[in-house]
Amino acid sequence: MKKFYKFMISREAGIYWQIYFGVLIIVGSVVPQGDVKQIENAKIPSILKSIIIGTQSYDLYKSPIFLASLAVFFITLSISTYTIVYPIFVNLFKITKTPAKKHLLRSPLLLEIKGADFEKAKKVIKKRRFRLINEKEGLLHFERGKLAKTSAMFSHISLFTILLGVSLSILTSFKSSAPLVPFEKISIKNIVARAESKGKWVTSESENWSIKVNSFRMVFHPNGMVKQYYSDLSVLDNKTNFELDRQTISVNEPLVYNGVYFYQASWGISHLAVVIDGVAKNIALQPLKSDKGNVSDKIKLGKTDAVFFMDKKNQVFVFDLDGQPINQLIKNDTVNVNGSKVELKDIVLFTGLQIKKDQGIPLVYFGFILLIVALIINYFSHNQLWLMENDGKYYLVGKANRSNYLLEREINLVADLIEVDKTSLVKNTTNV
Amino acid sequence: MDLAILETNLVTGTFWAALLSFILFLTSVVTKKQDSSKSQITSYLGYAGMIITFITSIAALIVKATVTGHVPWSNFYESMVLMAALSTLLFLVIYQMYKQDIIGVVMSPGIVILIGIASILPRDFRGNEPLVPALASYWIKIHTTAMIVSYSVFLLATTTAIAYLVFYFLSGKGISISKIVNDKPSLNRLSLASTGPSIQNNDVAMMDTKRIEDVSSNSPQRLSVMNDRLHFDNPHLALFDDLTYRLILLGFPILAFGIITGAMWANHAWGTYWSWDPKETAALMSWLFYAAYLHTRVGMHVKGKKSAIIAILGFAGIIFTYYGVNYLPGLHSYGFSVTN
Repeated sequence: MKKFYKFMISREAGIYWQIYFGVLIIVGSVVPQGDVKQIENAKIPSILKSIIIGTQSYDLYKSPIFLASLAVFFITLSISTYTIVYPIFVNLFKITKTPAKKHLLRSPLLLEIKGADFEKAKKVIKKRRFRLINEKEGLLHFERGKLAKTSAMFSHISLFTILLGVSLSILTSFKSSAPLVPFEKISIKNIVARAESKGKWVTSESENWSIKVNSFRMVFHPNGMVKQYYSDLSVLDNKTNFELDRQTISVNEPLVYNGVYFYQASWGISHLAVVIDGVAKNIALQPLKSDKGNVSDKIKLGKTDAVFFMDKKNQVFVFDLDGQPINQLIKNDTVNVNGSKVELKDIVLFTGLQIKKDQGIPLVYFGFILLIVALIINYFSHNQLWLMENDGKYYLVGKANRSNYLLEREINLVADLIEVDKTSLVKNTTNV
Repeated sequence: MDLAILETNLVTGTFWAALLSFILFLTSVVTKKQDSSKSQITSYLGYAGMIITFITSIAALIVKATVTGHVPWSNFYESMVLMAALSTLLFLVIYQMYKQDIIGVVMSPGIVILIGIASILPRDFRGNEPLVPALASYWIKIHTTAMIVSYSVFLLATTTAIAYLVFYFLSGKGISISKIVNDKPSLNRLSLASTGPSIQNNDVAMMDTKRIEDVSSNSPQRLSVMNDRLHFDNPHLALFDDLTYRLILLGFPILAFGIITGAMWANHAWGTYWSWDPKETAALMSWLFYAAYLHTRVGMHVKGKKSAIIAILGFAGIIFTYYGVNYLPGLHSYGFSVTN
């Protein structure tokens, strides 16, 4: 049990966690997420189907397996931060201990030199940006880049900060959507009330404002592709109708008011504004499953029922219930359909707004920054260098927490600079 | 000349220049005299070929940007050409640092394959269409660029990891690399590879346990990285292992930066910084594998063959992120093909 505990808080366990989450994410990428029906209808072996459904892999990131894994990971991370990373941090403020000569002699980075003048060596090695931290008889201890040891601390703190941010997000955020036609208004209270997801701490009691769509338009490229969608939005005071803010939003350019973000998320056809026998009506349209266009419910026109249909090219037709076209409607033109006079006044579009408030974002971003800092510190290495005299022999010994390669080059260079006499490499076969 | 034809010709030219460079570097390492420190004319020509590869690929991107009016890395094809250009630039820097033709032999095929695939992509993947609204943001210059830069670095890291495994297995089968490749890693640049005894056919197979008993006393580079030398008798293996490590060390934070800026862009455009979209999760998966690579080296002292395998696995994740997930529904499908 003790062994297991030790393993769980070790760096090795951290590596296995990374691989484990990597594998989980592969599962999450390969298995379609969100809808169990997709899995039930999929043409895959039934055993695989039952495994996916049983483990809730179709909604992996909310599944008990994933959440429990995250919980265990953060518990072990907390313990290892306290038992391993925190002591490293505390030791940063203490002078690095100097090992005994016999230990240094077993170092894998050991170079015997013919001889050296310690006073001269001090100056030379200091010029190589090393700091002399201890001086004993026949032993000089230098180090540089001690801050490189903070990398683990930064990465641990960044993970905790991100976790905290995400937790705050879960508690304080809401996400809602609203398809609105021009001149339609919706209050923030209404938006929060119909939110798809809402944290426990979300409240809109004190909020007394609404959002109104003034217009929605699309701009096209010469080749017919959509260049951008624009919604002109106003923030209005509920009591006075005073315009508190106004902005035209587009994809990548949301409106922010009181920490609430309004994103241009989608658009669609809301209804047809028509006049039937002198009476103005709004005919609601729904998209067809075949994605060939939008169609209305059946409507009494003259003596028979009919439906309005709008194709992908925005052409509007009236069809009978057998699916036969009766007539095409042109904007501001009146046509006769089964004895009724029908005039198409307008095709009304809606703008799909995504509305969100998330107070965890600043913390999450701060966590991201800390993570990048940790990765940058990772480039650097804490290097220690000893110049030692033992039994009449002189040695240069090195230790690096990361780049042995670069320290080795440094030792070679220092040796060239301080050595009194040329000598050879020491044979060192001792296992360390 | 029609700009579209010019761009196609430039990409084709890039392919041939890179291929020619590979052949020249290969000729150089095979024909170089044993222990000769002189550079071959083929070395210079191979390097010049890579410079041309870089220039033509950049020129192709400039032409593409002129035609489309937006940054030339908005779809699959454009990003591949940019990746080839960046990989070539990085190669040129590495070559200057190490001056080893064997690096050219190992890295140029990755660039040749990349630009080769780009040049044969169907028209649907190479469109000159304007940006869709979601991509019309300054974030494309930050997030997408960071991702492509990291992919370029990892591409080269993978070539050296593959080279490591190839050399390892060839040596294990008793095929003497020293007889084929005469261009040894230099004394000045890689001391760990320089001071040891010359390659023996069967040394490599034993290298994970073999200890160095003797190190040349006349070597100008006196101390060798003992830790590394405990693992590597073969200078080429040491070189490839070191290059893979350093490249991953370089690419790793860039990938992290790319993922983080992607999350920020997603939050800015869609209102959520993480949607578990296939491309997001696949990128995170690759990042975790590379994190495992770095941690196993530092924390568990894993090197050589195992490290090379993890590095290749990481790149498999990158290929999945870059290409594979486009077949899954998600928020990033616009980057793949205009028909999507």
